[in-house]
Amino acid sequence: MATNISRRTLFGYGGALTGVALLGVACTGGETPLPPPVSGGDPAALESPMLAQRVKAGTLPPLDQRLPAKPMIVKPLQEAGRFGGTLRRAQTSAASDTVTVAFCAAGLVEWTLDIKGAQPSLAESYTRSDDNRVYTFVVREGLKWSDGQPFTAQDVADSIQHFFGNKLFNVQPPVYMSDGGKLPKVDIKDGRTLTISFEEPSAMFEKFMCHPGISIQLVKPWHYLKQFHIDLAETEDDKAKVEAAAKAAGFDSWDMYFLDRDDIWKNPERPVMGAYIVTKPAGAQSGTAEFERNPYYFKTDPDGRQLPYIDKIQVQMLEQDALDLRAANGDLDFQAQFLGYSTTQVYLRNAEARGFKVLRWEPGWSLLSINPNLSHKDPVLRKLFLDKRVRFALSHAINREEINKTLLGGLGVLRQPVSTEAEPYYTQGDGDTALAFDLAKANALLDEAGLTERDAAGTRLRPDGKPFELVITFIEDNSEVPRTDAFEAVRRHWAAAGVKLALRPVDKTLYAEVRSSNDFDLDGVGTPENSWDIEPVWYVPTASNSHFAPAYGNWYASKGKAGDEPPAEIKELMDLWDTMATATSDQERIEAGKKIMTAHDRNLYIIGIVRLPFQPVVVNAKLRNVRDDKPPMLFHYGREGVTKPEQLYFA
Amino acid sequence: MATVERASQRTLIWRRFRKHRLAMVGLWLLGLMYAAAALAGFLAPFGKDSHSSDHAYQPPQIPSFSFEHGFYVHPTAGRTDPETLEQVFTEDTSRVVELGFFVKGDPYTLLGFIPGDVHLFGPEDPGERFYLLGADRTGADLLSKIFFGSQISLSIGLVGVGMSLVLGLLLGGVSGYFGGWVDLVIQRVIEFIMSIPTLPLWLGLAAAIPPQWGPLQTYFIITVILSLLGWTSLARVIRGRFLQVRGEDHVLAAQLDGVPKSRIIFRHMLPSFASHVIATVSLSVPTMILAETSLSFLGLGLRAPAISWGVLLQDAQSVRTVVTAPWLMMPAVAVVLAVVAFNFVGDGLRDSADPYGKRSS
Repeated sequence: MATNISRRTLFGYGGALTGVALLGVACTGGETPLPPPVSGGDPAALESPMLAQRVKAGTLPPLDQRLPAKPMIVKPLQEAGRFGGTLRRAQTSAASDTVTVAFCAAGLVEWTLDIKGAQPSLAESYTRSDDNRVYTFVVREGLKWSDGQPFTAQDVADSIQHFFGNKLFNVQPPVYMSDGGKLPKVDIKDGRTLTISFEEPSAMFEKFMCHPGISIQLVKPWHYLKQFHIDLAETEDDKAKVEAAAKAAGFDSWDMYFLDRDDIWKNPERPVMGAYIVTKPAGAQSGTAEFERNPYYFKTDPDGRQLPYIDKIQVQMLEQDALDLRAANGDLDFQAQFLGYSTTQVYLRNAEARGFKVLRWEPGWSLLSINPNLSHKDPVLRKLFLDKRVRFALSHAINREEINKTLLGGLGVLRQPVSTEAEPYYTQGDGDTALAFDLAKANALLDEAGLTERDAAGTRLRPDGKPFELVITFIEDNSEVPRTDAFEAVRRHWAAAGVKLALRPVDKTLYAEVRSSNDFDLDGVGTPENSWDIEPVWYVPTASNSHFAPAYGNWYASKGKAGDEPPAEIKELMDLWDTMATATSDQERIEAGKKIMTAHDRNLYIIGIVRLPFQPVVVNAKLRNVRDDKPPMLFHYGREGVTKPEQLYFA
Repeated sequence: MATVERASQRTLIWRRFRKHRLAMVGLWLLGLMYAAAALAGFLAPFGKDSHSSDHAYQPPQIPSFSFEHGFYVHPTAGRTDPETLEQVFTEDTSRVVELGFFVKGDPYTLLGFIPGDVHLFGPEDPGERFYLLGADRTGADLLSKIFFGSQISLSIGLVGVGMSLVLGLLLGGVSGYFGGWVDLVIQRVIEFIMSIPTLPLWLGLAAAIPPQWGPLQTYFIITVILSLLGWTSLARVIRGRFLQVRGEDHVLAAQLDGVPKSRIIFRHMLPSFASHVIATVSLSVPTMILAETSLSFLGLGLRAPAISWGVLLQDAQSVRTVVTAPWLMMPAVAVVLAVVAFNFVGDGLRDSADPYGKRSS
């Protein structure tokens, strides 16, 4: 019977098809067609043809009315460019707004090209008082938001008052906007001169203001946002309207709605000061986000061409494999973040044929490390982890050479997590402690620490008779050093020293929960080596999201009201951080920072394993003005933003 | 007097099944696979944990033959080119790794209680490495992993299928045969279970399962829990068939003859829709093998260090593998074979068990 045969045949094909599907799953890409990058235009033009058309049509004022009186002049890294084109990028999650940090930054000041200090940006000049107490910014005259409304110093002052000063957004001012727990004093003189003054010296404020993720929070369009902020509603009637609007938009309270409206990644209506504005946000329906140039952007090249050169940015949401394939196929124009290191070999193979280059930047945040929970709930484990000998033993028991050889072909860098020589906090020799694989030493140290007894399986027994079993909690991630593979190797190595390790890969939500509730033995995570002073929690438990001592961090953040009181050595770290944050001179700050690093180096609070040799960066061969040195790829420096993306162009 | 030939239902099915050529091939294949799974330790050239940091992504080695050495390969050492990041393997042609049958190697225990260290095929010197199907990213022998992977892939997943089947048949049968308030209660329970959203349930389980449990243990429990929830659709179908068959004449006749209920169910009713059940089950087996790793992102699915075909294939699904190490997709062949074999056997069983099917004579 025909039906019989067709069904049976179908079964057979079904089996074969399953196999084909398995093989083919990695080869599928997204759906949206990619526009090829366009370049060209008249080299003499001072504005993008796209904007010139709008001026012609009368929907946009001419260029000289859009630029400030004194535009910021950016010298292109290699050569002056031409207008046009779409920069194609991709990312793995629609929730990640990091593309705005890299490409849409706007701050009073910004990092210099060598990322050592600040240079004026929205401000035309910037000064810091000798005692690190008073910071003065003179805002450029005639700056405009992307909707044409004027930007003034008052916008910054309002951001501090209504955003950082509002308990709903910040229970207490965040560390970068805190003057001993309250807000700093803000003054505006002659409409343009903004002074932010601290009672306690704020040594890190300049760096905070350069951090593109922080500085943009001071640049909020209050002419637009005031309609969503209840404190800015004048009458009771208006306040009720603000609440009602939030409810109507599906939010529980007005502050949630405010944050949603203030999101430059999601809200195309929110005016911006950065180079690009989102025109089509990535949502559940759309797998692609689109950005367009800000017609009022305040930077020009030395010849007076308004930046950015590139008209549009397109960001596709892709699975990791599809993203790697897109990159390998030359379909991404400029991408460092989200690229899988393990696929570098494929990028390199295809680079020439597909018209792109693979640059090797410094990986800023990839040193895979194990953070023992020094504030563990279990007093026995806490005591063991606080014992330096145990930490040294755990470090000596890891065969890093083997992990490096297997996973990174021996190219990785073996280090303990502390600053590198690129940073002033580095002292010669830091980071080399207890790297050597020495099982005998590890065993001797564990014996010394009192873990002499063993059970039948050879696992050491803790002083209370329970087996010395540890669980490492981590987010599975194979885009850098493959974590499961590395920790699996550590499990084998530690077993030889009588320490039993169990791996617990978890998802992001559970990971955050486990850490904030101080409910983990070991936290496996990539640790930043440099610029940790901007985010000290990696090396000093200053908050409950500390990776190696959340309960102490909670104690510090709550000024002793919550969490657990730390032992003297941790208190010393906290004191050193206080000294650093309130230093009145760079020398004092660097001195204290060096001491924190040395303490880490001597005591090994965090156990490093291996770091990537480099961060691959895929760059379209036609894209010009990308830095050709090896800058670090780090959130604090804006990741890809470190190459000043507004002056990139397609040749 | 002429003798009357009698053949039981089972004999009839078996006779018909044996004539089904594809099904017989499938049955043989399955038999071989299960035998290989049972003897994995012996058939695999290396042990479960055996790996070598010098041989990550070693391509497959084809043994050569000479009268002096017998079968042999040249030893290799891997190195990563810092410029291209390619894995470069240099063969040391001055030395040979002699291969032999029934060689001593990594120790293992067959079926959990027979210790041994003799391997069917492998290097004569247990310290040497040899990769017939190449190596994975940790420098472990892929062939050995495929053998060990069959142990999990051909067993644990089937436990879940089996449990769903038993529960579905039992509860669906009871519900359909007795009807009335029993039916009402069971159907409401089914609806309740069907309405439980699975993702929050998994998330809850992910948090509840003690982290000290190994991946195998975790996966087993999850399989069991999922099958405790997964029997409902089968039960619905079975209930429908029971309701349908209950009113037929031969069932009525049996009831009037005073045949016990269990015999009515198992002898008179079940055979008429056994084919449907078989088709359902044989289709869900491959789904189970492929679903092994689907919960890994929550830390619930199978994952390394457990070895299964699903885990091996998950590793193979990266751009790097497809482009630079295609041999890592070999486990797919094993999965395809198993899936096809199960489907052929199921299909054959279905045809032979169907009393209304075409008589093959």
